[in-house]
Amino acid sequence: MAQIFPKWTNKAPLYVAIASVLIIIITGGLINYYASPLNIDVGYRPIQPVPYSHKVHVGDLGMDCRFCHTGVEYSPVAMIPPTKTCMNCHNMIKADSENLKLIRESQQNKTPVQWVRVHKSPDYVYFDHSAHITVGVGCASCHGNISEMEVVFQAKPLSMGWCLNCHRNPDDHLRPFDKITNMTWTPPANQAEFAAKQKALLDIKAPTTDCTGCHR
Amino acid sequence: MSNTINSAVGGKKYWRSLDHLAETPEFKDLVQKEFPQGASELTDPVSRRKFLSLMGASMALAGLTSCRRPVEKIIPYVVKPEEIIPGKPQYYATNMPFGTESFGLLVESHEGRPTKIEGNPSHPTTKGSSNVFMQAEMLNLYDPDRSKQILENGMVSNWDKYRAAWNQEAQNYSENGGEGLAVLTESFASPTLKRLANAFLEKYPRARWVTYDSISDENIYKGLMAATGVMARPNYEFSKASVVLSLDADFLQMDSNDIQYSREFAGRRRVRSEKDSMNRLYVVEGTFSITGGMADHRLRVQSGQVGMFAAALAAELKAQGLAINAPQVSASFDAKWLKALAADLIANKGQSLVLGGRRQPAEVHALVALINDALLNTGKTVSYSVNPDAQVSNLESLVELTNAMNKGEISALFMLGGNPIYQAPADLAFTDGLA
Ligand code: HEC
Ligand code: HEC
Ligand code: HEC
Ligand code: HEC
Ligand code: HEC
Repeated sequence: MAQIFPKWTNKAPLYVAIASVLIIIITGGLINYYASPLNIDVGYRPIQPVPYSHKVHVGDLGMDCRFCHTGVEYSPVAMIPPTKTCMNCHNMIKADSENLKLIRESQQNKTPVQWVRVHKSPDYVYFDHSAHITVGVGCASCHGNISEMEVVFQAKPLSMGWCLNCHRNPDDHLRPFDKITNMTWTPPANQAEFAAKQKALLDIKAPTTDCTGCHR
Repeated sequence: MSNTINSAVGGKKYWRSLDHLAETPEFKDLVQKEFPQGASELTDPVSRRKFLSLMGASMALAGLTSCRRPVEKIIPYVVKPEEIIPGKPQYYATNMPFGTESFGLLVESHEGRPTKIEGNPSHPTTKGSSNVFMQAEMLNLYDPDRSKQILENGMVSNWDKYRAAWNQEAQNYSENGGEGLAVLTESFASPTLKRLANAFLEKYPRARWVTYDSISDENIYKGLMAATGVMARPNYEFSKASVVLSLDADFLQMDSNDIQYSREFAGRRRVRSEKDSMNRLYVVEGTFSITGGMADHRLRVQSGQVGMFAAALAAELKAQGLAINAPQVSASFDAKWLKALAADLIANKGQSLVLGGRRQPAEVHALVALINDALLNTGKTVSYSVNPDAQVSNLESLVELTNAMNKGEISALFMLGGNPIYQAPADLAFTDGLA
């Protein structure tokens, strides 16, 4: 009697097993890579209602971040400036620019401008700007070089691993207070020495790596 | 479930609620319907097949939703109020009038929205603690039933219209001295409101000012009025009391000034060194209260029998040699308990404290004052004070007002707070009077 299955089918279970293991590894790898915050969130650059440019205002005009983001040093949130802050200049400068129409309307009708949020930590994460700014962590460590950005985009992953990387060893990110908002600061050669001094001075303990420190 | 109580079949009758026993229409309605009122029944004609196919589709697509990040907005102020830093809560010190009491509070507020109430650490009434009423007051702030503007017959109106309407009425009332005019308030101890009330009554001498609360210290005030001749309220010094007897008084949770009393009471329970001693708490009550739970010795007595117990206690104190004018009683309570209690109170003369709950009638409070007096506690663990601004709840005045309303003698009634349709005793027929 002729055989129902050809001979190679004896090996079929083996092939299937190898193939499925490979498929699992590859899909796992792909998901791990492409679905991580590093890949999904970094570079997120939504279109903003007003073509406000940090490059013009910070890079060219040299304004300090804290002129507009006044909350950073005192509060968990940095705060987007109120319409009034823009209008202090723009009722004179480019007072009839088409690009500023929304800002003028906001001023007139008392309706706030609705900016699109770029950086976002999930609701189950507790993040506090003031805790970082008051110990000398600069904006650029977490937001990249904002002064070069025409439109703000997310430069760092803001993932848990990324937070922890710095929390385990923050030394390279501690700077003198007058450099907090400097976008091009790089650690000098004697950074280790400075960091040790700064930590003793400000009584900076090792930043929290306890789950409850960030997940309150 | 059978929805009637079948009395034709012999044996015991069981019922689940008073409504069931009385077989009210609401109850019959309730058992007939499968779902209580408000819970909707499935009436839309979605077939099982349709439901499953929709479920399948949404399951299949559910995975895709997380691929795109939801767009979130940041909405800044147009003009930022100077004192607000977004993300930082602000704390406001304020006062919460509560009956004739007043509590010092700190209210946490986020960007102008109050979120939490706590006691104010630097206010003598609360010293940073709070009670259930203060915590619940938060919800009151967001009560959707709170009227936000002037309404006239349910329609939005404004102050100008109100003033115009009232000015016309006021003309008539100043001519007849306020005949037919009445104001109904909850009890209060606000000097400002009291001053305004006096000014109002001066201008309209024949108007009525009625104060009513369904739960208040009315009985306590009345009892002390009978005992001392003035409208006084008792102040207890738990810090000086070694033996405390509570007659249906839930001073740890529900009665007036519970925050201060809890703190002082607990202070005498804390043992820090070998020289410290603890106070002892006896509680006589009908239902289990927080205070009853704290008691070292608790006697369960029907609420209506508590007065009898007080009388029996007075008699026992007299029998043990205390000079007290005790009324005659025939009721019998646990004799051993009563003897031990009386002996303990006498042994701690001048540092014992007897207090009655606001649920008890005025006579009990008069007797309690008498017992405290005989035990030499007055001026030591309990003192009485008169607050000239206190406007105490008075049921009789509400009864008079309702009668006058039902006779058609009241032409205008102002209600400042309170909800008498809900709170007033049902047999008063207050609602009929309004119509
Ligand atoms: C003239 C006012 C102004 C100044 C100065 C300014 N910003 Fe901004 N910033 C804004 C406004 C308005 C937005 C919201 C619009 C947007 O996202 O582009 C914003 C957005 C941002 C965001 C993104 C917020 C989000 O949605 O996650 C970051 C990060 C930021 N700024 C950082 C900085 C830093 C760092 C500096 C200093 C180097 C700075 N800004 C200086 C006005 C200013
Ligand atoms: C210190 C003054 C100052 C403040 C504050 C300021 N700007 Fe400007 N802004 C300028 C100047 C100067 C220019 C013009 C630069 C140039 O000439 O290209 C400008 C240009 C702009 C333009 C481009 C206008 C055009 O027609 O090309 C926009 C949009 C704008 N600003 C938005 C904003 C917004 C939004 C804010 C508030 C968050 C703001 N600015 C706050 C000074 C200011
Ligand atoms: C330690 C990292 C870190 C540093 C340093 C930092 N930020 Fe941020 N920033 C974040 C994260 C994380 C978020 C998202 C926060 C959220 O979603 O609650 C954020 C959000 C923001 C936002 C938008 C939301 C808000 O809080 O109003 C602004 C604006 C901003 N940062 C500005 C700044 C400025 C300006 C500085 C420097 C003075 C700065 N940040 C320094 C991590 C950082
Ligand atoms: C560039 C370095 C750096 C990064 C990135 C960073 N942190 Fe920190 N973090 C610090 C330092 C430094 C401190 C200060 C420790 C101290 O004050 O002793 C700190 C403190 C904190 C604290 C404690 C604040 C408090 O009040 O106790 C929290 C919470 C926190 N970080 C959360 C985060 C989260 C969430 C992220 C990621 C979104 C993050 N941090 C990213 C450096 C960093
Ligand atoms: C320095 C701050 C920080 C600490 C400490 C920390 N987390 Fe997180 N965690 C984060 C942040 C930020 C995210 C959000 C990451 C994102 O947006 O993808 C996160 C996300 C998560 C998630 C959600 C899964 C995910 O990847 O999105 C889990 C689960 C979690 N953390 C568990 C823990 C546990 C367990 C610990 C203690 C061992 C811990 N975290 C300690 C900052 C922290």
